[in-house]
Amino acid sequence: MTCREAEPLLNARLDNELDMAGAASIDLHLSDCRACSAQYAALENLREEIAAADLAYTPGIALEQKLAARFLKEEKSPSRFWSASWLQPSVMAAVAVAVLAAIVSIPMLRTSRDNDAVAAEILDNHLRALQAVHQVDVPSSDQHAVKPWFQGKTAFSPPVPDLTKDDFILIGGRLEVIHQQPAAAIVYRRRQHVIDLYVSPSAGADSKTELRELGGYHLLRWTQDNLSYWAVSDVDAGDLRTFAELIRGR
Amino acid sequence: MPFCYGLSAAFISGDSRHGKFIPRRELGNKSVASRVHNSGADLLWKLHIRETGRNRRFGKDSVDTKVRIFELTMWPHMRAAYNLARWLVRNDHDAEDIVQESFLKAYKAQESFRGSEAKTWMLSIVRNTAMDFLRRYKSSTTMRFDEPGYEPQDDSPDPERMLLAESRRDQVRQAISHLEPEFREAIVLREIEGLSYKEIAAVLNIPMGTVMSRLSRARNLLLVELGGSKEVQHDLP
Repeated sequence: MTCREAEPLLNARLDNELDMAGAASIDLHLSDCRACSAQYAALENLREEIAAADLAYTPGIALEQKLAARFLKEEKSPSRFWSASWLQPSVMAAVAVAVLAAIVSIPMLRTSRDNDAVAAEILDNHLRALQAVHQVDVPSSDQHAVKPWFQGKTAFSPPVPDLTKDDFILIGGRLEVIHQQPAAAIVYRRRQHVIDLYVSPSAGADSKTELRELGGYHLLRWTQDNLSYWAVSDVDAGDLRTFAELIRGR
Repeated sequence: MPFCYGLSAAFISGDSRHGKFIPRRELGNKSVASRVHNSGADLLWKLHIRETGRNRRFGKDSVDTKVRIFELTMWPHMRAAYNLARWLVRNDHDAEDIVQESFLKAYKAQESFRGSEAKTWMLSIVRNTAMDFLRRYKSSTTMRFDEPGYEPQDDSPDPERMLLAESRRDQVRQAISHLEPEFREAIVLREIEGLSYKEIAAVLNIPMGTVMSRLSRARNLLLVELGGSKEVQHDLP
């Protein structure tokens, strides 16, 4: 390797952006060339100086408040509750039908409400995990490492199948609390999309998969062998169904 | 991932995790802590419920769901957004405006965003908003100084002050501040935000090879500015 070739790669080496072969060939060059190794030392020193200078600007607390206020102002739509459309007979009739239907289905509605609340909580948890530095407590693509990790941490044993051949890559697992219940979160990846599978004990009977969509995210819920499952992701509904069927049929 | 760097590109590892995890520890600055404690105190959501009295997150088009998703995915990146804006426009007032404008833009474009790269998506909006701002400013005023890229309320426009800088820290800060925006943003994203080349490429919308060459140029300029560069005879061609 010549110095001319090495020069820009010194930065990539410094930034840990080279693969092992690339790093090795740069290191070899550095051991041969005093000029490049002096340059590399200068770059390292510069990096340390920048880090030591602690140059990050932090916004005042007021920024968050200001932004939230502006946000809500833009977001708040004028209340249309008593607008004229309510007074039209067709709308009144529809409302009457809806009220009747609601009365009949109150017990059903209640469980669906509960599930809505859990769905919202699951989605929140999923989104928080996506933004966090580590999405998993046990990072491993090896099912035989992830599954035992949950033992002793949960009273149940979540399934951790290897779905690599179906293009769902196991990333790892973490422990969560969903609706005041300990839950195992098993993390898979489908292309760029992360799928969180939440598993927790359930007293309910086995049920089929039930799909819902919240703001572009899909949630799939089912109960099987006294375990309640929620799969959540931004993959399309078809992929998530495929995933669920693989877990169910494991 | 598109490359323009031919030979060099072959050496860049595609896995952003190297850049993501290792250097961040090395940096040891505030960005580390603020990444760990993401997603704040649910300020927007609490205000939203208080203002509207609503918490109906049913149905796919629920406004409440949209607000909640936005807060959980974008709010954690406010500090990084502010830092980038602050470095680009070089004063607090405009930086705050740019952050606010960017977040509102991001909310309106929320549908076009899906998934896991919220930070780079948010930062690219901030970056474009800040660059628009700088262009607008430049075209609407006459330059009052000869320095390239002089901007309003600059932290450090005065070379005299440079000489009198009380500390090395100020010298480093000013040296970065004096870089052209395209080099400044690369340094800030790499050294202060700890982003990988892949992430920087996504924020700046340039190939990874260009990220590397910009960082290379930027660091050489900083070395000259900070007096760390010595002309040495190369042993090899």
